[in-house]
Amino acid sequence: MNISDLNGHFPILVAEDDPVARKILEKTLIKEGHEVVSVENGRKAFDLFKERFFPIILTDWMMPEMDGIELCRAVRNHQASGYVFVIILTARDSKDDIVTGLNSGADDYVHKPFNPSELKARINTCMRILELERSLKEANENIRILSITDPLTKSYNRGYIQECLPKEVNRAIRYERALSVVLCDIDHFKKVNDTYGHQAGDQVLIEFVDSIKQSIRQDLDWIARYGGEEFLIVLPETSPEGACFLAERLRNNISKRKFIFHEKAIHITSSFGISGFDSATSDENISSESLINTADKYLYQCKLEGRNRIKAGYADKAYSIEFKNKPLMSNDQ
Amino acid sequence: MNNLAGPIDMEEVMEILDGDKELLIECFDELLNSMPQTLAEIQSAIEQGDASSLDKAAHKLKGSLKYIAAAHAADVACQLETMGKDNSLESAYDIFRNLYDECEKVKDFMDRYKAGI
Repeated sequence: MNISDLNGHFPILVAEDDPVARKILEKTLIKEGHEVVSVENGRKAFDLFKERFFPIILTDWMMPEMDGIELCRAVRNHQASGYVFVIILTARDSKDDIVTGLNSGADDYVHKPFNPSELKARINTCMRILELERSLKEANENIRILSITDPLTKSYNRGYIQECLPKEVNRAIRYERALSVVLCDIDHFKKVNDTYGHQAGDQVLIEFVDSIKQSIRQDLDWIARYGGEEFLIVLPETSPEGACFLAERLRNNISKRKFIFHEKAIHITSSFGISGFDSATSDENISSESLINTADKYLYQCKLEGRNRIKAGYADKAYSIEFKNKPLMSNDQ
Repeated sequence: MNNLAGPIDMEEVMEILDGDKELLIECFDELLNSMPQTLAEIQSAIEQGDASSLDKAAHKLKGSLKYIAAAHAADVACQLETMGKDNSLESAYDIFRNLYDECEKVKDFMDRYKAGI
């Protein structure tokens, strides 16, 4: 479990060797609706913490095996999935001891014997801080998603291509796998805008992307807006021949589809330039740039040859793939 | 029984526990269960001249006694804790006998309270 799974629920880990104090802590916190797991020393607490994330730790200072100060330090040095609010319980109340506790990583302290009302108030303060942290993380995640998303079509944007395509290429090379990209473009898109208006053009772009998303594998393939009416589909674990089958299916779907805008049916066609490689059989240095450039070259050929078609080839070979219902390899250099 | 004079200040313990009588009984049960073991740890630490173990065991017992407002017994446990910290165990066994007697009184009080006498 990590911080994002908690969703405002903050389980508390209690480390206290005194059984009476432990009982009071458990009872008080459970009564307040908290999930509480308690152990009798810092070592057991830390072992448990390594297995399961606790956003709140209440620890006694003096304990056998690992005391509260050592536990604080261990928690701070551990890579946790979120912030851990540590409250140290201590009978010690000299300023030096409090400074030692806070310097070791504790966020707050409660003097023993504590009163349940004071403990509840301290936990409430801690929850306000953790809730703030959670909402900040959520906001950051939303900003991150916005930064990689095309606002109109909700596909990924060009920034995402720059960030993630090199990783896909590296992964394919490292594990000797295939990878293909499809650069696709709506034919004569300017005419759609000129004839039906830009709102209609926007609607066509949205539905064009939706229709592609429905045909690619969720959680593996992805589509990004490359620019204007051009989109890049990235297909891990897919040879260029496999990409041809997908592109042909997409081409067919789109050419048969009626895009309805204000009760008017808009017909479009699209062209697909495909490139890819199979790292198991390739000795060439493939880069994301060479993949895109090759796909772009084949997309340009589609345009020259009359549009509404697909053209494909290996990024590391000079010949293209003849695709007529099934992929055939032929030299045309 | 609630106003019983004795080794536990009932008014104070009810304040510490926000008046939760059910929790009070549970605390008594915890202490009744753990006290013999902790006293044995203290005795063994003194017999072996192990100041650090004496410090820790006496500290634990002191904490429990404070939560149930057994002030006098807690003070005696505190004396042993200090002896452990200072590594000065000369008269520790005498203090331990005193602690044992005080704990017996606390135990008797808790037993009678639970029995509603």
